[in-house]
Amino acid sequence: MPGSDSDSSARGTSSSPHGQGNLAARPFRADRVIVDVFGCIRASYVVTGVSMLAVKGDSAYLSAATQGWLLAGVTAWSAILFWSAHRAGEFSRWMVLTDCLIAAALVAFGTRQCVPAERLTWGNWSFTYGLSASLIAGASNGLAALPEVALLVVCFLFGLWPSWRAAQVTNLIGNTSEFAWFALIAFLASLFLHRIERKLDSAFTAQVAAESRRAALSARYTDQLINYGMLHDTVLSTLTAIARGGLDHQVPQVKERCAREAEYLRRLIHGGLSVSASDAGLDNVLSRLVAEADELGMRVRYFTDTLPDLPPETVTAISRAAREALNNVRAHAGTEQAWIAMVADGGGVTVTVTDRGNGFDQQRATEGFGISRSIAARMLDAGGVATITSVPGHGTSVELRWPR
Amino acid sequence: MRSAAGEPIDLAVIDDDRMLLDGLATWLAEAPDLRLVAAVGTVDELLDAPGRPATVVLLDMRLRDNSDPADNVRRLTAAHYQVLAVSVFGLRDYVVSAFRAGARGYLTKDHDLTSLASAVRQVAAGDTILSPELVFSLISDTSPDRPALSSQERAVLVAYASGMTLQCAARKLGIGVGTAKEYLDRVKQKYGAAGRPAHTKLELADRVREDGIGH
Repeated sequence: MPGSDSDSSARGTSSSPHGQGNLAARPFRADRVIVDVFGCIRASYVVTGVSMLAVKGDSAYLSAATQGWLLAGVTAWSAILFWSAHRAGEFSRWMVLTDCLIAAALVAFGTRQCVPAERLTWGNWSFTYGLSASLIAGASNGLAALPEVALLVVCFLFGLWPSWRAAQVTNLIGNTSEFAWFALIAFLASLFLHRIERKLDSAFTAQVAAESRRAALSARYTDQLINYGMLHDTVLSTLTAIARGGLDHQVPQVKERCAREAEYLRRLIHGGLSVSASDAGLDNVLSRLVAEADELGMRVRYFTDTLPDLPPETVTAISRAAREALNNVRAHAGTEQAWIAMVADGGGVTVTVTDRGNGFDQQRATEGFGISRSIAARMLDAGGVATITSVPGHGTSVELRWPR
Repeated sequence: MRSAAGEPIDLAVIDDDRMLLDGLATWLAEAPDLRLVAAVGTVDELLDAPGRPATVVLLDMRLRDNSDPADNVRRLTAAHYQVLAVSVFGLRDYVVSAFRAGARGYLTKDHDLTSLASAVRQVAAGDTILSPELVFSLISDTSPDRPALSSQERAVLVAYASGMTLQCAARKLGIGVGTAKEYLDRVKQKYGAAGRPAHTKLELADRVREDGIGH
């Protein structure tokens, strides 16, 4: 039904089936076009009325003054109607009903006020006004406009009675049936316009989707450029330098550098070259932490699996706790090697920072040794928990679990 | 075939990375009990060589002839080599299938000489090595036909995958080191790494023939 369609589309985003883009951005609103066009038609009929009054004066009407008042009245009403409808973007049910009632009354009264000879001519401007009301009823209510059309027909016939003349039967039938034809044509036009509106809307939605895909790809491309930049600064320059003979790959520092950059490449491949430099996910944050540790001379192996999305506060808490744990390894474990493993656990995650270094006796540990207060506190605050396990001579493992 | 203790271990390497092979040869020169006897680029080359030149084979999972790593492992195991899978970068599915095909372990190539030598010695002695990178692949294995692990076995694996030593893992789970080792052994068995995987009827027939049962 055109009426109900116009409800959802005019009221816009949340009730519409597409729900994307805002009202102002959509290309074409069928109901608004209908309001504007029928407004022009109504205006043209009012102008006809004015010119009929001016040209024919008292010759066509029982009282030109009454006609004048009628004309002024419906013009005022039409102004209100079309101004509100234009603002709302459509004709509401009550607008259509009121307009029809006024038009019907006008058709009945205005026709009777005409001189009988004039009632089926252009001089009867009320009739043409009534037609424009039929247009609006047909466009807004479609087949449910039958009562309104019937009312207009009845009022017109009442207006004509008792001056029906056999000779004017064809005229009579023609004029009366125009109410129905106008309503039908308006209904069909409205259907057509709404169909075009739907097509334009889906094209618009598709365009918006394509735009956002393009933006995402563009962002990804930027990230890839950043990664390629990093590759250039690290792996490529190292390889080139070795190839040119400028770096001796037997030297321990160079070996370390090669190992670190190999680890970076490995992580990059694992992430499918889609590691976003700007992504604040836990995987990326920990990758960067590992890269920093590598810079400081540690050899950190990083194992990770697919993770759920985590809230940013959790990511911060876990990554800071992991950083501290890694610092502890550097400071106390007496080894350069560490492992960071991250596994998904139901809806949460468990991160372990492990070394195979000195370890310590947990029974005798004091506050400053072992899990520093801040690691435990950070995890607790974020709704997680930190546990430490250590065996003297066989390494230490700090487990960060979220949620508790 | 196992090496007797004290005898040098004959090692063959299947890898098409020329640079790596050269580096490895230099390296192994420093390990007196390891002898590099063959360095080839495909499994065929090794199997075509007369006799059985080596005990342990270091097999790169990614060979230029695009052969399936699991198939390579199967063929080598069928020829009674102990296979140690290595790669620069291991995709989980390949690692798991290589292990289930009978590889004795999986290591990334960035291990230093000491770890590599010790791994080769263990494998030569008939052990299966569970390195953290291998175990991590096992625990993220989602293939439908993976062996069922009890929760304790899985817990030990998870602890081990995060890099913990056996002692640390045992302490974390509140069990004895011996118990932890037992769980790991059970896992090895479940993954058919006891040395006799039978994946196809043909192989089963081979096994049967080997055992002297049937005709």
